[in-house]
Amino acid sequence: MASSDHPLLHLIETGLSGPSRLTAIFPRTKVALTNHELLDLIGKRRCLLKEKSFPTRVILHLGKSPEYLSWLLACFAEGACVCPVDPGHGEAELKRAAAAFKPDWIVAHHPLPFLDPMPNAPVKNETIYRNSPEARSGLPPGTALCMFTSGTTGRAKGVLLSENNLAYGSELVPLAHQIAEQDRALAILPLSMINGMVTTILAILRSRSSAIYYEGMFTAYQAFQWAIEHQATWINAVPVHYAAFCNPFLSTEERTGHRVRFCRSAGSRLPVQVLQDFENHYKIPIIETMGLTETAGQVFANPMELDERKIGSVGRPVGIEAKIVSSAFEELSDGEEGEIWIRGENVFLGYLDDPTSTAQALHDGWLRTGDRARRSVDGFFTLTGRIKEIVIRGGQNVSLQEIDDTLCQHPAIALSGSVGLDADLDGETVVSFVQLKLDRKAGEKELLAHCAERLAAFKLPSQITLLEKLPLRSNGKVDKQELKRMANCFKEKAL
Amino acid sequence: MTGQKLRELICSVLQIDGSGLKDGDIDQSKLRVWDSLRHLRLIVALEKETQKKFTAKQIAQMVSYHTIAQEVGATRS
Repeated sequence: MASSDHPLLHLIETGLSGPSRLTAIFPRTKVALTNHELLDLIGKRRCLLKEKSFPTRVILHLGKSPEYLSWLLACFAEGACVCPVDPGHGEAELKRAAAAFKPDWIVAHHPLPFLDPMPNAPVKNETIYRNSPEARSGLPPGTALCMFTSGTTGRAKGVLLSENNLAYGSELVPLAHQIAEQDRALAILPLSMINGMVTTILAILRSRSSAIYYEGMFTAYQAFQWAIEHQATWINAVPVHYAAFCNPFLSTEERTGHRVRFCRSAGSRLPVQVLQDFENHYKIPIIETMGLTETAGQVFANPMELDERKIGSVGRPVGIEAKIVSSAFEELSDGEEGEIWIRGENVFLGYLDDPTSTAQALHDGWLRTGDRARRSVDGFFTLTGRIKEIVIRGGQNVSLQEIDDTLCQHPAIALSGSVGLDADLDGETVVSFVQLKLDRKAGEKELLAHCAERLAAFKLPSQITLLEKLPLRSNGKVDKQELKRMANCFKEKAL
Repeated sequence: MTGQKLRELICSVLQIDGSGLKDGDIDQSKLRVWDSLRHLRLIVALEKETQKKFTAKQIAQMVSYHTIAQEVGATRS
């Protein structure tokens, strides 16, 4: 098959070919894989996929590990569609993803008591579960990935990306950051997120470089220890991690011997103070970027030439077209504020089983990102806010609608309104206000427990406040502006 | 700071009900909600409460009730 027909297979084969070299390092479990060893692991799983009735949809419920890496790439190589679900997000998220994606297999590290494991599957550290999905509609041809995200339009949805989308996305990171074979990434982010997957798996293959996969809970001290020990040349993280590097700063002794030439930041806006503190202390530049799940990752980046950077901006478009558009769908001039629209080979196929949301997000070949920004005369984009009700926590989109829907599933809740506040180290916090039904009672603890059973930890509101009546707008909708004002008042009083 | 107060602070930041948990169960490896983001919040809360500044190395080691109690010098009662 020609590489253009199967670009991910081509990427895997070329990215892992050639003389033996270290490709993937898992420092906590002390596993280091050469390109040949990784190819071997992928090959074994490709055989399994072929032998066992060839699943077309596979959920990977695996942590950062050689198993995740090899299953992901084996599925890509064989043309199966993968849906990664972070095991850290719990069983409820997995069940929700399985109900929507309808996989043939779920591959997991942890036991899944609600499914039967495949007997005699020749795998050691993971278990394959067969799933018998009900009737499902087909995926668009060439779909390689379904990734659940709160997306650009507010509700959790499965973003469908094609082989071409991912293969093109993998080119943009090495292009923007001049990553070459001798480079080695310290990959801090989960590989089930688009940033982690494209930037530190596919872009690593594209540049034939290598990565250190940070396993377990992040601490700045541990990150630097591994960066030094395994000779990282760049770090991929989100603002919360850079804030952690600054609170407290590592001592000179704790960072002696590193080779890190730059850090890459994405996921949410990097506070200028954090950037300056980090760079002043560590003398390592942070390159600000921006990407979306719907664009297979990075689409904007600041230049690597430090005097050309624009602090506070996400940079210029890389490998795509971008424009600023008004609410009347008219292109705006430099300096005017509007929505960012993007066009390019990496723009996604659509949302899983959701033609309405797909039609809202895609307009005439352009992706409406939901992000508001201004473009400067020299082509830099600076974010000014978001159009839709999403907050970003630790680099992950959280839909306020999803939180409100979950709260309203509680039998005592009549109405719920959640708002995001610029707050702490991990970006925005979510504060929820609820109105109880008449004659019903529920406390904050009970409501939090209700949410914790149904939502991943990063989606939980930091506070739930009971109000006798939620403020409403004239159209009968909850007045979120008023709630935000109230939440800010509470915050100021608390300080 | 007493051990009881420390427990309450950890459970409050991690948003967990600690009533059924033994001290040994309050451990990052056993609690799914104790992720890196909540860990940072916990350290900030501990620094505020104890008026101590922890080093990066200490922060990396404070991943259970017992190791935190050791670092903050929590008393038993």
